[in-house]
Order: sequence, then C-alpha cells, then structure tokens
Amino acid sequence: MAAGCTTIYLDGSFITMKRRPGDFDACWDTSGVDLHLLDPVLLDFSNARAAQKSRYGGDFFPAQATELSAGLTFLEFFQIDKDSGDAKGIIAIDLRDILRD
Amino acid sequence: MIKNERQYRITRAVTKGFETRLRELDVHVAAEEPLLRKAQTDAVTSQLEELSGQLEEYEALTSGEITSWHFSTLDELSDALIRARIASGLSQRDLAGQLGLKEQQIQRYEATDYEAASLARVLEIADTLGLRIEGSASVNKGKRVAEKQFTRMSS
Repeated sequence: MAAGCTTIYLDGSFITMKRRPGDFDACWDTSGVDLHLLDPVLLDFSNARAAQKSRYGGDFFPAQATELSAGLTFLEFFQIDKDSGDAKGIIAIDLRDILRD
Repeated sequence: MIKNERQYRITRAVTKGFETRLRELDVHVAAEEPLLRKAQTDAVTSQLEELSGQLEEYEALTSGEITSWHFSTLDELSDALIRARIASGLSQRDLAGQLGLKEQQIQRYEATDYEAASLARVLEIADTLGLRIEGSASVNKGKRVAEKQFTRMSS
C-alpha cells in the first residue's frame, strides 16, 4: 500500500474446498505503483517464487497494467478453473478499505 | 499437478497464451518503465517454467517413462497416489469403477489431496493401483527429552 497499490486479487487453495489450504496466489494491480518502494522480494520470481513463498506464504504476480492486444494475463489465468476450463471467481481486495479501518 | 487429459489440454492452452504474452511484452511495454517490464517478463517466464514442468511430468507418466518417485513427507502421499493412477493408464472413472465408487469420489479425493480419505481407503487404492510404498519413520529425540524434563520440574 505504501508503494501505491490499490487492489490485489486472491486465488490459490484458500478459495477452494480444501480443509487445510496451503498457499495463496495473489495478483497485484500495478497501476500507480512505485516499484522502487516495493519489497524487492515481490519482484523476484526466481525458483518458482521461492523467496515470496518463504516471506509471505504465497506468490504475487503483477496484474495487467498495459493494454496488450494478445496473450494471457495473470488476472485471466486466475479466473480459469484449471480442472474444467470454465470461468471461476477470485477475490478482489481493495487495499484502500483496509487503510481506512 | 496435471491429473487428467482435460487438465493437460487446458495447461497446454494456457501455456500458449502466456508465450504469446511474453512476445507481446517484448514488443509493446514502454521502454521508460524498465522495472515494470522486467517484473512482468520475469513473472510470466517463471509461470511458464512451472507449467512446462507440469506438462513434462504428465507426459512422462503417461508414456511410462517414469514408474517410481520419491517423497519425503506423508503430505506427498496424495501426489504419489495420483501419479500411480496416471502411470497405470487409469482414468478417475476407471479407478472409481474398480473400487465400486462414483467417479466424483475419486475426483474429490484428488482435488483435496486425499485429506478426507480414511487410511483404509488410501491403502485400498494403493493396492488396487499396484503401488508399492517403502519408507522410513523416525521420532524427534529432542522433543521427548524436553517433555521428560518438564515432568520432572512440575512434580
């Protein structure tokens, strides 16, 4: 939030029917974010995001910021049910609401 | 982990989507935001590596290239059962049929890492799949010593 991020989207086993979810996948909206103020770990994707998993317990992916004509975005990827190929929901968290409380 | 043909097809399609995105990032993202471009490129590359690992594992299991695998904790037993099913060429429906269960039951087991399956069920499935499991177990010596000391202190 300090870096200007307003929204994150949550996916991963926390929003499935597993009794003991193990991890989460998050997508963060890059609009208006000063990347220099971010924890560098959030920009380190090496080794299947090992550093992020270790510090935060999940993976963080930059959400679509630029309008590209083709290709899959992470936001789209998160909304595909990997089992059926159907569309599925994820959770959007407005960080500004958290700041207000 | 890819567990059946449908997931395999979906993973292949998603991989193509990300590969296209990677090419687009190369061409389109503004040069004045190098940190953002690098983050997006690294993120997609990292995801592609993970997906291709999953594809390769599934291909190796279905082709019979892999017939044994290691796991270090009981948590991973579920993966071993799923791999055994794939390697044996059985669909979730086939396995369910052999056990007298509904296909949905096997799907549920596999989707939740077998967390609701009884030990008896797990052993039955392993047996049906001809899965041989060997392993070792040990206790944490340090833990026992600490408990003994506590008992002494409190009596």
